[in-house]
Amino acid sequence: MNISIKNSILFYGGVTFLLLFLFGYILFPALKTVETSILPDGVVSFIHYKNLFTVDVFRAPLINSILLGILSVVVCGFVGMLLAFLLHFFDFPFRNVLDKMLLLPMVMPGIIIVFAFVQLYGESGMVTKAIQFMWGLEHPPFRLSGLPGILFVHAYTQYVYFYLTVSIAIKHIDLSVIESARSLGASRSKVFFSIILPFLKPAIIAASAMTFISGAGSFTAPSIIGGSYKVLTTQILLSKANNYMDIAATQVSVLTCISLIFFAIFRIYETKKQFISSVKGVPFQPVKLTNPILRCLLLTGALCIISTLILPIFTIILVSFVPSSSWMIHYFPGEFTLQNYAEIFSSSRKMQPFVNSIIMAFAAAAFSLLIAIPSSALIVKGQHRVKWLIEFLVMLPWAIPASAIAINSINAFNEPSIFSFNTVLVGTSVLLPLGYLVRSLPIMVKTINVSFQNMNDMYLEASKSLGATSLQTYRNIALPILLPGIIAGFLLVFIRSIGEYTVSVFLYNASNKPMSIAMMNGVFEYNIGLAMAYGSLLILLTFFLSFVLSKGLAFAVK
Amino acid sequence: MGAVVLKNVEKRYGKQPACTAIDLDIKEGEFFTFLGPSGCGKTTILRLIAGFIAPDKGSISLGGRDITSLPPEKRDVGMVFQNYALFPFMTVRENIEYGLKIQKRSVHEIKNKTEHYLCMVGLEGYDNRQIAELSGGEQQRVAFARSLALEPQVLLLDEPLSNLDARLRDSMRAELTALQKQLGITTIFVTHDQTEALTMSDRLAVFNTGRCIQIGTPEQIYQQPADTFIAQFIGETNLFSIHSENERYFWENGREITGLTGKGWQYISIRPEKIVLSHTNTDWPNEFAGVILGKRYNGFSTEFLVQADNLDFKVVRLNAGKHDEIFDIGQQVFLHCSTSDMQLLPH
Repeated sequence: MNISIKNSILFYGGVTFLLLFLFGYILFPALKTVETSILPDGVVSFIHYKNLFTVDVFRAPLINSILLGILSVVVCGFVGMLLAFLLHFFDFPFRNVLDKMLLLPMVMPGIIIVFAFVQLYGESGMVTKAIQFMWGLEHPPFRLSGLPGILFVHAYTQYVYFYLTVSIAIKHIDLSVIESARSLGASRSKVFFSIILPFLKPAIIAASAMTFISGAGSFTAPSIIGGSYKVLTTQILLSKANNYMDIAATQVSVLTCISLIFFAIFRIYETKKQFISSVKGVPFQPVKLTNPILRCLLLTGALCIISTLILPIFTIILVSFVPSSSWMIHYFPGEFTLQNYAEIFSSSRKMQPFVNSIIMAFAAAAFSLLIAIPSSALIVKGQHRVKWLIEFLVMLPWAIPASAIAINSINAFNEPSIFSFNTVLVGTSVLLPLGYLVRSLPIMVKTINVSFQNMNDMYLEASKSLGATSLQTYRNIALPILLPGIIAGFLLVFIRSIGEYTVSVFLYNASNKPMSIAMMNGVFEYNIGLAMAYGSLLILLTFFLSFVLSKGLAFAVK
Repeated sequence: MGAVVLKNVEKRYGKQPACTAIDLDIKEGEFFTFLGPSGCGKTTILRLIAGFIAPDKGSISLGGRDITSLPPEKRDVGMVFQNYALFPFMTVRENIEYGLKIQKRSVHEIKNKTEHYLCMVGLEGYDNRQIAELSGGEQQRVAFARSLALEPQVLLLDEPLSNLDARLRDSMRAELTALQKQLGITTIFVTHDQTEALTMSDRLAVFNTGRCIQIGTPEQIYQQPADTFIAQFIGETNLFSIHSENERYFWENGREITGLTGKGWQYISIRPEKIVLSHTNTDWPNEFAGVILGKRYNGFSTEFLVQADNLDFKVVRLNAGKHDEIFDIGQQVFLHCSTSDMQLLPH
């Protein structure tokens, strides 16, 4: 057979398989949810939508979710941008350490952070009680619950969107543009408002949209510390638990629509990214502070922030060594033991969630690689007309809240279909890793896209001009360039999946209970030490993989 | 080494033609340059010869062998890229060995050739350096060594000097030309720099808007440009529109051009260094009396702008020594140009 015909068959076969997968496991489940929401009894009806917008008990969580999203943007925007400005505008001791530490919440599973916050700032938390005793208060000075509690957790976990995007934008500011404005007579404040802020606007809007999606779709914090503050995501679980799948589907559809609007805004501004100057620019340099008082203030602030960032991790590890029974009689840990770890490693039943999480995270990361590599190749290097469709489908899960991804899977695979190989997947162990895969696909594709963007076509052409065949070129030239990105993508998905809670709570079953659920069960059974031991193992694994990841990325940059 | 022949080659991107009706006959061992402004199609033609893109029409042959439909790796063509395209994760030695290993040469041959070409480009002892540790000039030498190590029939150079600073570029021009002559390899060089093209090439082709306008030696291209585009693109020139009546030509101001007869030409090009500037009237034909409006000192020469009979002339005089006649702005001067230095152009 002619080589070009063979290549065409392979190409179109691959693209068809890719489209089928993306349609079957991303779009089809979402459409099934919409179908479930408008066909409650097999007849088209919009009654649930009407109820959601008109009946108080349904409408309140919707409004609460939107409010939570907006307030998350305000709080995280303030924290994230303040940190970004401080770190990139001023040079002070520990600045570089702080810059790296500020990314810590990105690799910490959300559930661990929430538990750590409860242990620190909850009604009986160590910080709360320490303040209460120090000041001799009759009642705890604050309670980590309701909207303020959720916002406090969000401020810690979601400021990273702002910090990262605004930091990158600041690093791209051309110093000569600022200098030219100054030479034209602009004051420092004028330069900030007329040059720097417009430059950062696309980054700020993109970060706001992402934070809104993340805040409005948040599940872990509202479900654990939300108390009476009900949001759509917690109501979705409630509807599902009571088997009102049509109501759950309606709530999911509305939440997804809201997220999609903000996702569209994000994509528009993400592509604008930053104004790149046409000539080689001078990088923006932070100002070295010479005033000793200011330097001292910033140093103190930096140390406080570092402590705040480390404290939750330290708490989880500390509590993992405390016997669970001691919490009944002490506010502060008084005795330490290895019993919680011994329990996990000696009991196969208690070890199982750890093993389950590793297997499922590995499967999700490996399979998402199989989808992400060809998708990225087509998105970055392809000229084909289906390129936009593939990009839309792989990025879609970014706009779908985790709880919605879970409900979509249940709606799509609770009956046999071509995509479930004519079998029912709900109740099987396949659905949870599939959920992890779908949830993490956008981040995997984004990471691998960067590798493809770094792969200058000239390298491939140079290889071919030196006599290498296409296969030799891919093996010897393309693979070494892509490999760090592939490893980074794999580890990111693995890290995100291994401590995942939201999709897990909807889709786990008795035989694949993951670590996050085991932690939750431990807390509910007052076996806090055991729950924290799971958490510590998760932290240990996450940090080890993050270290490998940073080494891999350093190699990629080299 | 092989001759490269392109016959009626055409390449379009969508409806936009990148190059049209290209006919080239590049001789064996020749240093041939594609010269033209950005977007004129010169790199497209180079990539067609390399095999990275396929022509929509026409054929390409190398050493008498039709290579039009051959993939790049089967063409026996070496290429040095504008950004060198050195593999960043390989050492200098690994980069040079890459093609030899692909061709499954013996270990002994790979070692010998790598050392030979490293030595040839003056990089002995650089074997184990990482690419990021090299300067721009060193990277370029590695790129040359990598392509030359395979001893291809033809070497394609895609603006390889454009990323170097002016001084290094000058020395690399000389080295590159010497290397090409030493190896006798057919070389096709793409550039938009007319100095590079004129100083390095045996012959060159000038391109504009996807078409080959003129092929010739540097002297032919400079002294006998085929049209006004080439006259203006290659070097400086004085370009005047002319008209003919009764087989006699006239300047724009109506004055007759003495010594030129015929019809059909619309422009006349006179190189600034061909115009003689004098303080005294010589009564030679085609002499103009004028006044100096501008003067620019360029080190080895001085450029004057002279207005004479409503015509603006650019004149260049070599600064031969301190006994030179002094010309200054505002002075009355006389200009003279010989008909043999006037190039008639069609459009």
